[in-house]
Amino acid sequence: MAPAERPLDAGPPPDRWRRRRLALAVIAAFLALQAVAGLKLLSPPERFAALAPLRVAPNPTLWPFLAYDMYTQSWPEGRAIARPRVVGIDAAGARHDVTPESVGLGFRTFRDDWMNPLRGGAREQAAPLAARFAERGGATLVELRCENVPAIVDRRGVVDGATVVERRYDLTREEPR
Amino acid sequence: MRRLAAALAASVERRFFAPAPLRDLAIVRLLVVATLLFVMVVPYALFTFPVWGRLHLLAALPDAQWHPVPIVRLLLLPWGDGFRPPLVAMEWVQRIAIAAGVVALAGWRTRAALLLFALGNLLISGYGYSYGEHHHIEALTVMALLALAAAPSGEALSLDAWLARRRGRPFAATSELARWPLELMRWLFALCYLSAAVCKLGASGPAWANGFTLQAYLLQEGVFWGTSAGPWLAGHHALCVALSWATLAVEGLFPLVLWRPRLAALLVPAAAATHLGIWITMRAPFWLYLPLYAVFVPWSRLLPSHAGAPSK
Repeated sequence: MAPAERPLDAGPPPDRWRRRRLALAVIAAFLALQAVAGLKLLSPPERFAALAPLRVAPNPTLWPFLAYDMYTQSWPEGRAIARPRVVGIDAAGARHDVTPESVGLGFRTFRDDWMNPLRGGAREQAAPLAARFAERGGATLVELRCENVPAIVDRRGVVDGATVVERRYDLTREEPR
Repeated sequence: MRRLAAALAASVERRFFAPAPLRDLAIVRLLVVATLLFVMVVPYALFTFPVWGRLHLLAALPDAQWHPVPIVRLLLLPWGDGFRPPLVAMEWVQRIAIAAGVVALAGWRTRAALLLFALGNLLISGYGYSYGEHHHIEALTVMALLALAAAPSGEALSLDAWLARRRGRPFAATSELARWPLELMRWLFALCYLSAAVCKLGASGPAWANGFTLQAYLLQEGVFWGTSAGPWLAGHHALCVALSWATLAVEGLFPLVLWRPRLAALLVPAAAATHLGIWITMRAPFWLYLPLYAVFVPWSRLLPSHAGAPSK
């Protein structure tokens, strides 16, 4: 609507009912769609097998109308969560934590471009990462390890599980051990 | 039955169409548009993985991953069913949406600008969620923009209003169409929080609040995002039990604000604090909710009305 169409003294605008109908349509449609999506009326849980025919609109079919079903699964006491880390070993056998800070990288870059590929077996990443570590004042490493220290949640809080060595990269040799 | 229908109609009339100050609507427009514009222009300032900053990454994905959500499919239907827009097209959509957002913020031809801004964001976010992954952070904002575009949200605090005054034909200070978008957003907030509580209890029952669940999610996301607050909090089981019940209470009780508006003074800050805590510990960025909470603020009671524009 152009501004000049509704002067102060002109009473209700001529298109008042059209605007109201538009508003009512938007209200009804938005609330109905959000109720259907949010309460999963067209996406009942899979454990109700009898309701399978109703499962026609799981998220995000009705986007932007969504079920807010993030982080909904409960966890029992004692389940472990992976906590990967990279550790370097120097010639004397001493361990050094290879962290994003120690190699001058942001956390996500370190995680996505270095640690995860190394965990997946990208041997070609090992020597460059050790070099970055040494360049920034760290020790000269002869071995790089990808370890997982599982974190177990229980009533005491978070307890370390037994460390698992996922990968070893011998930096003095061409092939991985 | 007829009496029930009449009562329902009267309730809708009272809740959604009672005359309300246009300035309240305009303030929400300014806050929502300004915040969304900011995150579109500087995507990584507040977000860890924003759609506005990774169109090029999405465009590089293979066609096999393109599964457009229905609304995107509908918007792109003129180019063919299932059409996947190229990167250059999406970049232009983003530029045009930003330009429309600036115009909507200034309040010039506000409805058209808001509609363009809303449709642009509907398409951009929907495009981002057409590759098999979706998030919840923009959904309410897109709905709010569409509602604002269908309402007289440019009839105060805008160039449109200034131009109307200069022509000697100022807009009224109140309108029967000024309340419904704000009330609609309050209802949508209530439904979204209720959805969050229902989904948790539906999937896990009261076991969701056993403390271990929150500990595990805090730890998992804390490790993934490299936060120290998440793992720290995960180390406090009793606190996690209390926070789990508090989360369920805030989400499940939020709809009460629709019948007891004064509860908004308690539940809105509680919800905002929940989101802030989630961001600190788990990096889930619900920043776009902050300007939307403005729909719960009785601005005209808090702010003095300016001379010559009596507010109700």
